[in-house]
Amino acid sequence: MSSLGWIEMNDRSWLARRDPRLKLAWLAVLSLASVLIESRTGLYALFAASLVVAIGVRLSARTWIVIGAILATLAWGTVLSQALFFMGDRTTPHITLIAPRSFRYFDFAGVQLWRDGALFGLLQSLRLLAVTLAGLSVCLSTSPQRLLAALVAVRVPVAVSFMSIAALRFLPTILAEWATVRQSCRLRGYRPRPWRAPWNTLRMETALMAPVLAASLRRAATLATSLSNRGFDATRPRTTYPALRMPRTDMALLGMMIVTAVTLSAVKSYHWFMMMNG
Amino acid sequence: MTFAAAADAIVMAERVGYTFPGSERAALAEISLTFAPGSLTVLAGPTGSGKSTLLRVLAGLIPGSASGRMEGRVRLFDLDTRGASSLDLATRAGLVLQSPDDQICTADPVSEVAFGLENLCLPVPEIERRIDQWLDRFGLNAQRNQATNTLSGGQKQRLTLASILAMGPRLLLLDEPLAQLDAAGADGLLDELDTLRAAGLTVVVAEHRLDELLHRANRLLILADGRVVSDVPAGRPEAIEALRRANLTLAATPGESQSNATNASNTIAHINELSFCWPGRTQPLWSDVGFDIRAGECLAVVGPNGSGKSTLLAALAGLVSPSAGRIVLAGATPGSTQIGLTPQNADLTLFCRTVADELAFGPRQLRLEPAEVARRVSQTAEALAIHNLMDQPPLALSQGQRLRVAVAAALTLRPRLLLLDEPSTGQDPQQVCRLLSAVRALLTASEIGAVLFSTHDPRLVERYATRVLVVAEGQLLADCSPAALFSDAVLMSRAGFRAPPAQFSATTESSAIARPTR
Repeated sequence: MSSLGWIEMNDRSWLARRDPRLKLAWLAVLSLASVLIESRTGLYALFAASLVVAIGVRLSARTWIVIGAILATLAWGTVLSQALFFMGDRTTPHITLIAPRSFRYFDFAGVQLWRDGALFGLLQSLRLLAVTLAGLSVCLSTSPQRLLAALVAVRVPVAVSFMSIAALRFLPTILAEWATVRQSCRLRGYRPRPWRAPWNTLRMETALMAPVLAASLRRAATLATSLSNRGFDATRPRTTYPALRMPRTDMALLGMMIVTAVTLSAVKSYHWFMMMNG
Repeated sequence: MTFAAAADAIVMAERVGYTFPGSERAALAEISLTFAPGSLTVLAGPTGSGKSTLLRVLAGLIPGSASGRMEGRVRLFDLDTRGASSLDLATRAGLVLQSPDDQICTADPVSEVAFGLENLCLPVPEIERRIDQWLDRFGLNAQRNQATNTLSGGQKQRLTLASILAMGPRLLLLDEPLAQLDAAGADGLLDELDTLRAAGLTVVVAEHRLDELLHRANRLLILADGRVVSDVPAGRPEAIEALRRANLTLAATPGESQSNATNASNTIAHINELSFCWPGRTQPLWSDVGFDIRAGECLAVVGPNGSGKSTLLAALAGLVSPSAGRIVLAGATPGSTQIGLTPQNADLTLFCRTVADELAFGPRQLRLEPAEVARRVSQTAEALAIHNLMDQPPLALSQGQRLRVAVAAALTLRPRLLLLDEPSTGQDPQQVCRLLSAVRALLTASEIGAVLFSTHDPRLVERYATRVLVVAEGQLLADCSPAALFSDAVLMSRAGFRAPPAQFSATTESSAIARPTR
């Protein structure tokens, strides 16, 4: 297990040993399915599939708590936004899945929370949660270097994929620096008072980002120099180490994923075709 | 790997000058140098004298990736650095920058060493061979799959060096490689460099810790304001003379003497059986650490890399929670705060728009009278020689100035205990002395209660500490006077420390260059 600060990776599970290109394919198929599937049962199944795979990564309890918090925040955001802005405006076919019995849970000064909106948001959030969970599963079961190799192999530009991996590498450092900034500010007597002095608190919290940003800029300059000094050029070919070799099991799984994606797209296209022709 | 192929070649700089974009002052001017194969050249000079810029010029990174104005030319073996590709440069010159942590771009040592080799498009078996060779050579085999962000400072330093050397450069440029290493780590690194030089590698090192380096070097170059002011053989008495002329030794500050004005009855902090264990680990970093801090004391915390010095300071400041034990702080006096901290990366404490605001921030938070705020700001700025920078944005200042502003910002709170985490990192000796002398003056004047600083530099311990805490082997190994530490060779060895060299000391006038005592 290695740590990204508050969450831990596990690169020793069965899932971790799968070819990273297969995992990217899994992410792509799941994302496609989350867009195409509209039935409630289908979305439940999608989320369940993502959850089963995530469980297969065998993460620590602490990591699951953090993942749970991320998923809950995402679901809460979707539910709240739908509950606020639903207003009985049934413009998408998804809402035909929900009984048309709108009434207000809450109404104050023109702000209304709608029950149907909340239920609709909860259902819609399953798409987001399934993809987020799949993304986390892939990231937490794959070493950054193998992920970089896979991204390059599927023709993501080296500059983009390398930047993403470097961001992962420096995330714990930035979090540690942020903690140091806040603590040293507290040692100099600062106490945030968001209720009593909201403007001052906001101004101060914004100012506290300056040292972290400045450190990040200096670090970026150092890193750029170091990369240049080691012959890195995003426009030139480079060897991939370790070389990616997809075993037969992974090939079979990849085949199944491709078949699933093609079938799903075909069925959906047929459905749309039938709808357009009455 | 041998560097014999470079035996007949040299590195040559001809009338090199460089001006950073937007600047009117030249960072380098009229520099003409040659470097013989297998030589070790030491670059010395005050902070901002152009050492790091010169290393970048020699590596071909300037003018390559920089947009400033460069004059003259540099020939790197058979290659003119102007217009050369990064790959051609990388196989000829390797540059290791000041902060190893910021240069590591991958998640584990194997990937880090492989990174440059992948860029060279080497075949996989050759990459594997070089990874094994260089990780083994720098003693990193046991950590080959460990997350890079969990390596110690010394291990990170060795890893950056291994990843550069694996690419097979013939010129190695090092920017302050010893800054974060203890004595044993520094010796190990320098021994390895000696071996590589014997195989033909040319090495140029910019460094402030000259005492550990000069006796191994062939040549000493001293830079000031972007020009070479001295170019002398390193092992001769004239090297010391040149350093004295350039004000790069620790000459005594007039009127200064080590204060022993401690007040035994006035205990500022009582640390009782403190232990600390990182989350997820079973072995404590240190345990049962106990000591008192009395008013007027200037304590030095020493110990090898990874022994937990910074963590001890962080625990005292409340940045991390100890797993056991207690820290009891005596009550703060009105208008003061308990603890002031300047972390190793002092920039993280600078967030105001101007230096004046930065210094006034703490006293304003304590709701002191404006007149008192102004008095403290002015007095502290004078003491730390930053009074002419008051309108400047702190983060735009030089490294030495930023450190002084950060310490001044902590001092305006008149803390009962001031914590300084490795204040000498990246600073030239004069800058550090100026800083610590000013802090000592405030301590003597009872403006602050006590000072505790961590360091690897024996000269600072000798000059400023009234007491030394040795943190090593997971415990507080000793709590003694500097003289007691320097007279105990076994204790110094366990602490990863060494006695201050005679020729750099404040008190001796010896001009012989001797190998430092381990």
